[in-house]
Amino acid sequence: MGSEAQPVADDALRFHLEVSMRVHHLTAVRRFVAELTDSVVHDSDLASRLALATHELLENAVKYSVDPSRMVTLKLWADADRRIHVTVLNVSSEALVGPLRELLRQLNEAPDPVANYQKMIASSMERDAGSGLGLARIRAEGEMELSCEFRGDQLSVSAQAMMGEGQ
Amino acid sequence: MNIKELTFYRDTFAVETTRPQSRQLMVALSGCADLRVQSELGTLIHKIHEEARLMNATLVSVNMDKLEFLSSGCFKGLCTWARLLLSREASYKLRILSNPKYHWQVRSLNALQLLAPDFISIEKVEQS
Repeated sequence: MGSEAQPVADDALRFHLEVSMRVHHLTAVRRFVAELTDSVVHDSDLASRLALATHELLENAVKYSVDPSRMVTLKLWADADRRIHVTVLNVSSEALVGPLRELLRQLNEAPDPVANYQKMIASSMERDAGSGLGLARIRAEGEMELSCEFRGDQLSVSAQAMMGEGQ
Repeated sequence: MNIKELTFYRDTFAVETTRPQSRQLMVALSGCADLRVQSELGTLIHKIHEEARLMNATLVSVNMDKLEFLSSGCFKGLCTWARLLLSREASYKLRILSNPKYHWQVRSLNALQLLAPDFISIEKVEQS
């Protein structure tokens, strides 16, 4: 009816989920992300890394949410530069965002993410919580870049990986 | 037969510990370990280490063939185990049986082994 169909690449991907995030949903969402991305990009290693990032980001959202009654948003998409993004948005506060920004800066700038991860594992054993190990794991094991943004009361934390790297 | 005190079953995750030989323990992890079992798993690892020490074990095997996922908080429990091996001069070695079908295991277990390379070995589970 006048609308023109746009061509869609084989590896086009855009997924948006809003859910009242409870810890018992984590496994279902992680499995879904793994199966969806594997079926789109045909790279089981990349799918596994994205699933790992999804789980860790969502678990952080559950742990650090300042209002558990609000929905958590998960976005998964591929951009024109063949990067796949996993983004989790939830309600947070400026007090939590400052240390997070510093941690992400340190993780992204570390010249050897794996060596940095080993150091963080060692130091995490001295702490009960707030070790940043989940994010370090995404960076080192997932080989993904990390970023965050805080707007209003919404914190979004993203992990990005290149398609094709694991093939 | 499972050692009851070193075994637990939860919604999505289970730990079953057996004594296959007089100075050995076998710990089978299965399912998905997340925030809900983090504390319990950490406590159980300390108990398993203590049992291995008391029985003067030479080998503890950890079978991850059916371990679909381990969150970073639960992974930290395994890292603590590595520290126990180093700091208390353990009598035993830790042999981890991995399933490469779960890609995360390859990466996480490499990181774990680096913590105590003289005490931890990684082998692939033989698929029947």
